[in-house]
Formats: sequence, structure tokens, C-alpha cells
Amino acid sequence: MNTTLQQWVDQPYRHGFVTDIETEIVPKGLNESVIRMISAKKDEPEWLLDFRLASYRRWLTMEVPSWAKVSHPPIDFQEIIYFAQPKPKKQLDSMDEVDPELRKTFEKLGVPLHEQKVMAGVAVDVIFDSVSVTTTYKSKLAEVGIIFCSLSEAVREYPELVKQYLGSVVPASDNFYAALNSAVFTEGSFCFIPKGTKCPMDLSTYFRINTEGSGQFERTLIIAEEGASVSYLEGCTAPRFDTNQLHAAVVELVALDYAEIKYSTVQNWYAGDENGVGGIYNFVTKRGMCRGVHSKISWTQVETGSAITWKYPSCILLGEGSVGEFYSVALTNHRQQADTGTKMVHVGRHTKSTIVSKGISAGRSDNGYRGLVKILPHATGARNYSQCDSMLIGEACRANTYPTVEVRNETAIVEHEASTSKIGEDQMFLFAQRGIGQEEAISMIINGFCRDVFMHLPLEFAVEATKLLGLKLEGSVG
Amino acid sequence: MKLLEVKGLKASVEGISILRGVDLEINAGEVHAIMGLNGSGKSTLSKVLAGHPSYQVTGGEVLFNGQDLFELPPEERARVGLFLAFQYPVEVPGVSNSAFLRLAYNTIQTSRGKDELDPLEFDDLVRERIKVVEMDPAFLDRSVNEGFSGGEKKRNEILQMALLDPKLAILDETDSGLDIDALRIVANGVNSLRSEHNAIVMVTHYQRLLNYIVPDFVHVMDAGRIVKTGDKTLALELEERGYDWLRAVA
Amino acid sequence: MKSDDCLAGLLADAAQRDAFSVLRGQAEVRARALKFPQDKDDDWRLTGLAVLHEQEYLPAGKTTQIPSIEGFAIPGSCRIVFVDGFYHPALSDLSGQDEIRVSPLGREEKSLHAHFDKGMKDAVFAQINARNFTDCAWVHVQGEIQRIVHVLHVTTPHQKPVVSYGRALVVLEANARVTLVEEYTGPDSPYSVNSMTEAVLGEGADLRHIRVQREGAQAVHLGHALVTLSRGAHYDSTALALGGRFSRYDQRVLHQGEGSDVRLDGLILADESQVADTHTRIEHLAPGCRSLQQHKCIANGNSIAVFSGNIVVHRNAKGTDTRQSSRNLLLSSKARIDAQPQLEIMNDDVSCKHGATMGKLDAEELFYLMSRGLRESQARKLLIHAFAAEIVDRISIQTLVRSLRESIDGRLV
Repeated sequence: MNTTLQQWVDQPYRHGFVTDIETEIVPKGLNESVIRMISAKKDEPEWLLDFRLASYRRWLTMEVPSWAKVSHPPIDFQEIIYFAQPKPKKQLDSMDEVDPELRKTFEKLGVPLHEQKVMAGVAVDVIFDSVSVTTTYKSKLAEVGIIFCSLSEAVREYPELVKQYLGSVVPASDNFYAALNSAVFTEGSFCFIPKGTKCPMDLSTYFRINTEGSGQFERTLIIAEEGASVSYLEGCTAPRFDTNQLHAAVVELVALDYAEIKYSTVQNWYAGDENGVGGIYNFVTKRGMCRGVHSKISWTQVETGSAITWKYPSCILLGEGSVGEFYSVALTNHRQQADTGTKMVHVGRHTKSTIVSKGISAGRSDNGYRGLVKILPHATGARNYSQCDSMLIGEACRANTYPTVEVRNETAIVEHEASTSKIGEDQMFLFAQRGIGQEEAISMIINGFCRDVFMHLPLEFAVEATKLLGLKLEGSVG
Repeated sequence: MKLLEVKGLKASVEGISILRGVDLEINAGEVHAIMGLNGSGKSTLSKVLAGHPSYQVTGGEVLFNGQDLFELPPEERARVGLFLAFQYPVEVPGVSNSAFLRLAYNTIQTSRGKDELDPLEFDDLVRERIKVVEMDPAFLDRSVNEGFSGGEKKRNEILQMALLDPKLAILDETDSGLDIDALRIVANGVNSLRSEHNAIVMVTHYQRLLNYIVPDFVHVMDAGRIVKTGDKTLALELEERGYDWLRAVA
Repeated sequence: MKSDDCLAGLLADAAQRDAFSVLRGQAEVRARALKFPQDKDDDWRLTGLAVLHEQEYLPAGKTTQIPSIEGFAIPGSCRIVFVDGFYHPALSDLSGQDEIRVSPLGREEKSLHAHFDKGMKDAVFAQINARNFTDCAWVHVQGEIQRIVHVLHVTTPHQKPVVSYGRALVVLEANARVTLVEEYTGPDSPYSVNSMTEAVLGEGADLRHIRVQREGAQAVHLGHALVTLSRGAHYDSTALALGGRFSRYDQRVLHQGEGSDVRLDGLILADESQVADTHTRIEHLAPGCRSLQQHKCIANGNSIAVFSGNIVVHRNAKGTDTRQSSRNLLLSSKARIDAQPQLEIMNDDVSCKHGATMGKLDAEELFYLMSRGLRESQARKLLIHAFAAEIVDRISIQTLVRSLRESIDGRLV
């Protein structure tokens, strides 16, 4: 590989600063009293504490999953801080009461906390370490009956809704990290779109890990009732630390009859340095349940950060005629490892799913797609189309594709295709010979490669994603 | 005026010396043919001039319009008017041909201090120029060279030449792999782009192409040097007698 | 039976004492370390192992029965027949073929010894075979063997279920060529077969390998093949899994020499409560190699068909070109097909594509045929045949193709 490509990938991480803010933390380590302390700090009802403790006990019996193609030293779960929040914690009545340090942080990250300045009418819930800082446009949304707030607030204000849906899509027993999250989750967003309501603006959560040694265990719950629809965006960054930090989130989506949820992520957690020191372990369980007939859940993700990504946003297609979609771009560079993909479980009749996965590996990274398409016996007329393409940049990276197709209904039609390509010296020379500079050439090739995914991102996100991929790869091609 | 001056050019690839002292002078308005056997260094010469990163210049100098060519990175060479039609046009999956052509065109226009064209204006232009190579406009919507036949790829190269309007166009074995009809179309395209302001260098094995694009000079390369220069009759002589008699001379 | 008991049963009798005693001992150690596979093992997850726990199998002894091998003859071929894992000279025909021997080995086969048991150390049943194998067919090819080499494994009916072990080693010297046909058959009572075929291809060698598994209806068949290619070698394989209650074929191909070329075709036809599984792994360890793979599953009744195909391109295997296609036909609402086409790529100078499709018979095509007067059953049969034919018809041995077509027909009634 020539040096220009190499240089192009080696861009510094731009969100690696630390905010100097006084933080209240629960001492590191995990046991029942830590969980009780978290629950008490959040002033939670008894049933939620019980949910946490049951999850914790379950977690103790479980083993760290070994099937994913990722390697890391064993995580010492007693070395993690499970709760960190900026002081002082008090109920904010308006945006102006947000700590100026915090406000500066988010402005630096391009997430203004003033509604007037907010990006193109997107409502934002901002989460800093373990707590929600603020939620914008809350009252405007409330006018049409939409609840958009932090999960803690939802527990206080709408306990019945939370109780009904929490853990209904991802039970604590689902996997090791889901159990851990269920025991210690601290914050997250809650969205409830009532029957027949089309959410008038995109909803967004911005996650920021700030405290060294803390884990982030957020939990997001989105419910779209009959005929409702919503587009939700998630962004993540973290400062640059030499130690690895654990991010074990759970996201649950529920779509009732004819409801539609579109969930988009641009994940840019700190990825560690070029030697693989530091970075976020991003072990996330995201799942949507198309519970109603003709409901639709669509995941779009652009994964560029984290030292290790272990993430399979999935759909359970229960309702007749329901639709699941997964569009993914995963980029790894240096020593990053990504094992990501999706599960589409077809339960209902005439359910459809589409998977488009684009993996870009550079440096000495390891980038894998892992997918499962499962057609159960009653899923008459189910259809799936999957496409998994890999692009390799340089000689030392790896690209793996592990799809599994399990079909138990003879009327199903399932198609899977995969291919590999590279940004080669010859392509770069062609662009140069036509007068096109390196950055433009790479951006054109990458955009062409990712086009089928980017077209599913909301516009602002698509622009951001394109820029981000450019930054991440700068210097690695050529 | 002198467009290109090559003096004692030496170059190697992976440590193996290929060009061992090439001298060549090209003026605006001229057409040159460079002939020679496989491995004589003629394709290497064209890649070295365009700045392919696999080749290292180990000696000599090249002036393009009086400017030291080796001071310019490959994209700058393109911007000052040096064009290479590739022997094996590269496929770029996912990148649409029209977007690629437009980006190339606008980059070169900008470097010449001219205005960029928006997609609609460019579409008009490209549909006009595509006639030069009798290419189906459907190829504009496909990925660059992906799945194109050999002939379609070569036409796409000449279309780029037509759009970018270079001062010096080097056609590296543009005739290889073309049937007689495609050869005629490509040659007609090139001829229509000839002018007193630009020059063309054809790198080729065979005399065939020279029936269509008649050269002013024919150079024969052997073992990394130009060993003989003549007019178009030299090509005919080569066709008849082969290369061995020249090697003996060299 | 518990897994541990299954393994213990297979390793219970003392290993044979012969020239391979050391190797047998090592294989036993490995087998014990590997343990009997579990349902949760990645490699066995899709197959399901319940059947393997149902039955105890006694090691087969030499029988005095002379089974009929009529219907298996391939005109002009030389034939090696194993009965219950033991070489049967009377049924075999090796006249004029000095290159082919059947163990026990003499000293002169030392050179072959070097190629013996060279891989699949991670596959427990392959290790059990290495410990327990009875006779082994040795095919050593210099130049070209014009005649087809036909190896037939027959199991005879027993009172109690038996397990037998088949083994073959095929060594092709530089530029040698041969066609190898392996067939497996047996009665409709329960029994088990564990087979291992190793092939080592020298530079420019060419092996055509046809494997037909048509075991009896209650059989458990565990087959293995390990093929190593030197520079410029060519391996063309067709593997058909038609019989048995439970069958699994693990095929591994190693491109060790530059510019070697592989074609792997496979067909599974499963019906009733059959479980049939093909696991292949093609490793590109040298530059400029090609592999082309086409696998098809047809599943009817409440059968399970599994295809897992892994292609690994190692760091220095520049210029690798691979194509893999998995096409599957599900004929019944109770059947299940799982497909797992996998790619692991460790360098950027490669062209790899794979595709998988899953579906039923095309309704339009069925309708078209029926509108021309065919009964639905005829039309279905015709289309299924056409689906299978892409694999079967690449076999150029006409007698075999004919008998395979009959077999397939018989299965689709």
C-alpha cells in the first residue's frame, strides 16, 4: 500500500478531550449494594430495583460470550465505575441552567443545547456519563402526545409504560452484556409515540462518556403505537484515555400495527490509538420487535469508532407483513476490531427483511459481518435479501463474512450475496491521472461503496457520516 | 514550441532498471509513435511520464512546457495537460462514470481558471462529446469501467481525453484488444481531437493503428532506449522485417 | 447415551498393533482431548447431534459374507472393494495396476507414509478414524492412470449395529492424473461408517474426485476428505450425499502451491427424517490460486440439509480468485435448510464473491409445464431433476450418471 492511503486513514480523533467538571461517582466495582445505591440515587420504585437485582443474579450465572471473532484481555468487572454524574444534580427547568462547562463540551461536539440553535429542528436528549443533561423540544412534542425524555424521568412520570415494555424485547437473560446492562443501566432515552401520530421532528440522543474508568450502560426504549412513526438518531463520542472503557447498552424498539421506527446511529466512540491502546469496548444489544401487522423497523448504522464493536441490531418480525431493515457501514482502522451484523427472525407470514452491510478495513484491523436470517415454520411467504460487501485497504487488515441462513418454510425466498473490493494503487493512479486529488478520490470511492447505506440516513447524518469516514481513513490510502 | 523534452531518462521498477537513457522531443501539433517489443520499455515510459507510483526515476530529466515534470505529483501533471490513456483501464466499482467524469472535468477546469459545470450543464457537454467515440450514453450511468468490454473501456478513455482537452495525450496500447470497427472508431475520435496546439504519443506494438492515425515520427525502443527514429515508413519497415535488424544495430 | 460414553465406546477396544501404532496412539490422545462434539459447538450447531447419541456401535469384524456389488460396476475401472472396512480381494480388481496397494504396508511405501494423516487434527471423528481404521487404499500415481479408480465401501447386515472405518490415501506425483470414484452403500438396518480420504497433489497434478454417499436408510455416515495442492495442481470434486439417516461430510482443501485450481461441486438430497450436512473449508495459502464452488441442497419431508462453506484467504495469497454459490431447494413445509457461506480474507489483492439462495420450485415454471399437459408430480420431478442435473451432469461417467439419476428418481417418488 502506498503512503498516501496510509496517511489518509491516520487522522487524529477529534472528540478526545476531557471536560473538567466535578463528578459524583459510585465507587468502582459491582455487587448488590452498588446496584441498590444506583437505584437509590435515582430514587427508583421497588419493581425496578427488583428487575435490576434479578438481572444481576442472572448475570452472575452467565459466561462472557466467546463466539464473536474479537479478542481482548479479560474485563475486570470490579474495576469499572458503574455510576458517574456531573455535580450538582438538580432538576433543570430550562436549558439556561445547564452547567456552562457542559454546554461548552456539547458545543465543541457540535451538539448545541439551546433549542434556538438546535440542528434543523431535531429534538435532542443529551446524556453525559450516567445522566441525562437535558432534553430539548420536550414541550413541543408533548403537545402531540409524544413522550421524549430520559429513562429516569420516564420511570418517575410514566412507570406503567416503562414497566410494560422494559425488557420485553431484550430480556435480561438474552446475553451476558444485556444482563449486565439490566442490572446497572443508569440512563437512556425513552420515546413513546402514541397511536396515529407521526413524530414531527427527528428525535436524537447524544451520548458522551467523560469520566475515566467509568462504564456506560445506557438503555433506550422506543415504542411506536398503532400507525405511529418516528425517526431516531443516536450519536456517541468519548475522550481519549489509555484504558479501555466498557459501553454495554441495550436498545429496545417496539412497533405495533402499521407503526414505523427508523433508528440511525453514527458511532464514533474513541477507538484507541494506532497501537490499539485505549478505546471503548462497544458491546451493545439492539433489537426491535415488529409486534404489529405491517409494522416496520429500520436500523441504519455507521460504525467508525470503538476499539471493539460487538453489535447486532436485529428485528423480530412477528406481525404479518412486517418489515425489517439493516443498513450498515462499519469502518475499522489500526487495531480496531468489529464483529457486527444483524439477526432477522421471520416469525409472521409475508414478513420481509433487507440487509445491506458494507465493511471497510484498513490498517491492521479486523472487520467482520455476522448475520443470521431465520425463517420459522409459520413465516409463509417470507423474503430476505442480503448483501455484504467488504473493502480492504492495505495488506494487513482482515475482512470476514459469516452469514447463516436457516429456513424452515418452503415458501421463503432468501438471497445472500457478498463480494470484496479494494482501493488499489491502480485506482488511485487513475484518479490522479485525471487530475483528481487523493482525498476527493478516496471520498468518491468510499461514497460509491457506501451509497446503498448512506441513502437511508437522514440528510444531516449522511453528510456527517461521509465526513467522518473521510477523517477516519485519511492517510491510509495511497 | 517544445512541449515535452525527455533527456537521458532512467527509471526502474522494484529495483529492476527498465529505462536506460531515453531522449525524446515533442512539439505541439506533432504525432509520435513509439514502437518496440514487449519489455522494451515503451509502456514504462508512458507510466513514468504520468507519474505511476510503482516506478522510480533514477536519472535524467523531463521538461513539460519548460517545467520540471518530476516536481509535480501525478494529479498536477494531469492538470497541466498531460493525459494518459491506460493500456488496462481500471475498474472502480460503485463510482458512477458520469460523476467521475464530471469531477475530473471540473478539477481540470478549475485549475485552468475556468468555471465548473453543474450536473445539468455537464450532462449536455458529455452527451455532445460522447458522439466522438460513438459510445452509448447508458455507459455514463454505470460504474467506471466495471463490466465494460475491452472496446468500451478504450472508448471511455478517449471520451475522457475529449473532455479533458490535454496538451499531450499518451495512448498506451490503445489499439490492443480492439476489433477493426472499434479501432476505426477510436482512431476517428483521436483524429478529431488533433490540433496544432496539442500533441499525441501512441505507444503500440503494431503498425495497424498507424494506418488510421498517421504519425509524423516513429521511434523504436529496445532495452530501455530509443534506438531508431524515422517517419511513418519506419513502421512499415518494422512490419515487414521485424525488430531483429534494429537490435543488431543497437 | 451421554457424549462421554459415545466417545468412550468408540475408543473402547485396544487399538490395532501395526506399523501405525504410534500414530493410532496419538490420534486417541487427540480424540480424547477434543471430546465428543456438543450441539452448542459452532461446528455442529446446525447439524444437531441427537442421532449420534441414540445407538451404540460395535467395531465391525471381518465378515465371511460376500455382498452383491451388482449395479455398482463401472465398466473399464479398476476396483477396490472394502467390506465393513476390510479389503475384499475377491470382489476387487486391481489387475495390471501396480500403483494401487491396499495395506498392510510393506517397507517400500515409506514415501507414502510421509503423506499419511497430515491434517484435520481438530476433527474428532477424523482422529477416531486414524486410531481405528482397518485397511487403507493407497493410490500412488506417477504419470496417468487411464482407468478410473473405483473404491467401493459396502457395509453388510449385522444383528447389532456396527461401525466401520474406510480410509484412502491418494498421492499424485508431478503432472500425474487420475479419476477417483468413491462410493458408500449398505443395508437399511442401523450401522455407522467413518471414512477418511487424503489426497496429495504434486505440481501440475490433476485429480478428478467423485464421491457418492448412498448409505442405507438407518446409517450414520461421517466422511472426511483432506486435499493438498502443490503449484499448478488441479482438483475437481463432485460430492453427492443421497443416503443415510445422518450424514456429515467434512471436506478441506489446501492451496499450498501457487496457481493451483479447485472446483468443488456438491449436492445434498434429503428426504423424510434425514439429516445431511456438508462442511467445506478451502484455504488459500499461496498466491494466484482459484477456487470455484457450487453447492446445492434439496430438502423434502421433514429432513434437514446443511451447507457450511468457509473460504479462507491468507495474508500472502495475493491474486486469489474465489467464487462460491449455495443454491437450495426446499420442497416441504417441514423440511429445513441452513446455509452458511463464509469468507475470511486477510489481504487486499483478492476477488471473492459468494452467493446463497433459498427457495421452492418456481411456480411459474411448474405452471408452464402443467399447461403443456404434465401432471404436477411429473412437472415437479422434472424441475427437481433439472436443479440436481447441474451437479450430477458434470460427472462424465455415463453408467454412474444413469444410476445416480435412478437413485434421485427413486427418492422423489
